[in-house]
Amino acid sequence: MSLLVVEGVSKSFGGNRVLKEVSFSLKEGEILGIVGPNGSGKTTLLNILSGIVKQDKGSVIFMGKPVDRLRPYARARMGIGRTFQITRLFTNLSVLENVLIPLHYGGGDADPGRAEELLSMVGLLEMKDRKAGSLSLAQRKRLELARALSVNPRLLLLDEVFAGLNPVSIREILDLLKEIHSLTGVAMILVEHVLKALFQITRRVIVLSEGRIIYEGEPEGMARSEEVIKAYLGERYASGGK
Amino acid sequence: MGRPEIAVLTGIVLVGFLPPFVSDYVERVVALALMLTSLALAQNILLGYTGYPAFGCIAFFGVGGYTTAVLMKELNLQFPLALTVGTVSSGFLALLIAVPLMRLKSHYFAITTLALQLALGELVANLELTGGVQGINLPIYRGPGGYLIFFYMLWVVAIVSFLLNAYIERSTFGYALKAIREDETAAETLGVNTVLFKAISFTLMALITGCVGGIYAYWITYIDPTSMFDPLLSVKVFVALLIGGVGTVGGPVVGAFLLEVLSEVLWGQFPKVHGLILGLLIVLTVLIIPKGMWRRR
Repeated sequence: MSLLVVEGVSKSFGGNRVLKEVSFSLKEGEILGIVGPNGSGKTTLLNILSGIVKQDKGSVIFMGKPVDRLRPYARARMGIGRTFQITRLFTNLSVLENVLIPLHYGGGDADPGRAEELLSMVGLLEMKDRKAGSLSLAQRKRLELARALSVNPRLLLLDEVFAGLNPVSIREILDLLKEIHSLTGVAMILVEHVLKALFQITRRVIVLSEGRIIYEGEPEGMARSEEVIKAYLGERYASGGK
Repeated sequence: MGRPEIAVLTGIVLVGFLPPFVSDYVERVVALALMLTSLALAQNILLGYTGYPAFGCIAFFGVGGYTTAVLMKELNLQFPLALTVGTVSSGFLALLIAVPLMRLKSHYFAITTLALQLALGELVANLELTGGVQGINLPIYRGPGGYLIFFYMLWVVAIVSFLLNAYIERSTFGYALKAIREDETAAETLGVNTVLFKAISFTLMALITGCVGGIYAYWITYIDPTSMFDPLLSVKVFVALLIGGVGTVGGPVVGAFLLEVLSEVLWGQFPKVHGLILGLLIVLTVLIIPKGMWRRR
């Protein structure tokens, strides 16, 4: 049985059709990459999956149950964790409190021991008493990951987790994601522009362009798709220039 | 509760021992300060912890006051029962409107609550039941303790409000409110039922504010729409909160006492220009210490 099934999801904002009949599924423990040009509907898709935005048409089925009518908090409690493109930490609260809140409300148990365990996993245990607002971007991304893990997710939605990071930090986050996956077996959907990093963690990619799926398959196949080259990669990338 | 908070709580408790040693005038000023303390602490739950500024919070003061007064006058209910119904009515009204109202945020929410306050004031001014613009006269309290009973009622409400704020500061319930204040969307995606917690926060604010309104109504014995739905009282609550420190447990108490006492002293010393001086002092305070006297942890 698929962990997640997205069936014919469409969404418009005013006259702008952001998603058009998007359908795909995800197996338990699978890692899926979603790429595409800016404005292609990637973040809107994550927002629909996490319940922040309601789709106009289509349905989302998670663990065999339709979740279309569920609000984000209920989806989090079912096991959908997410991070944001621009980090949305509780900046005036401590690093520890940032993890304790989802542990209590999303994960069902605000155990400080478990919170410290998660912070240790992302390498922030020594900073647990610092205000989240004082962290660097890479540290913020790590904390968002710890926070998303606090809801005991079966599915992690990661929105541009590598964006704005230097190569060293990208490497560290990549290793962290691999470690999280091997330890928890959590399924992941990564919306990403940093393809080099993305392709090191996923064997399946969806390319969105103008709200519809123009490619689905192995990363290597992207460079062979005329439509993907035209809409997203460009000739230089396809010929190995990037 | 940290040491500074315990010191403030001790201060409020000690205030309860003042009446035998001070004049009726000082006793009245302290009672007003206790009233403002409760109102500021109530607003602190909503603004300080949840991040929603109910600029028209005094709507619930009016509802509590008028419900208490109407029940006493029209149905001859005893004050404790009338006050209970008045308090619950304020809370119930808040619960009823919380979900649609709290879809709005920041200044939109603030202005809408102010509109509610003004609309309720107008409604009360045009109803026969509430005495219209002439208001309602209540019988003078002649029971045990005399007027001191109102002092102690306000004292108890201030202590309860303080303890509630202290609980919110440290509890998982408070974490939910703070998460909403920090980032509502993120809070929701992390399992916090934001609609529920916002409604609870709004209702708690209304319950305290309504209870204070009910006590005030019987204390003053005469209420009218202007005094019970006074926008200036809303401003005073916000100023006390800003001076003291939004989102802190001790700040609203310090701010309320400072503002009330300073206001009285200036009124006594400079009767013609006390408002001007007080206004300047408030502006200076907010400019020099924008986050208030009591810093958030």
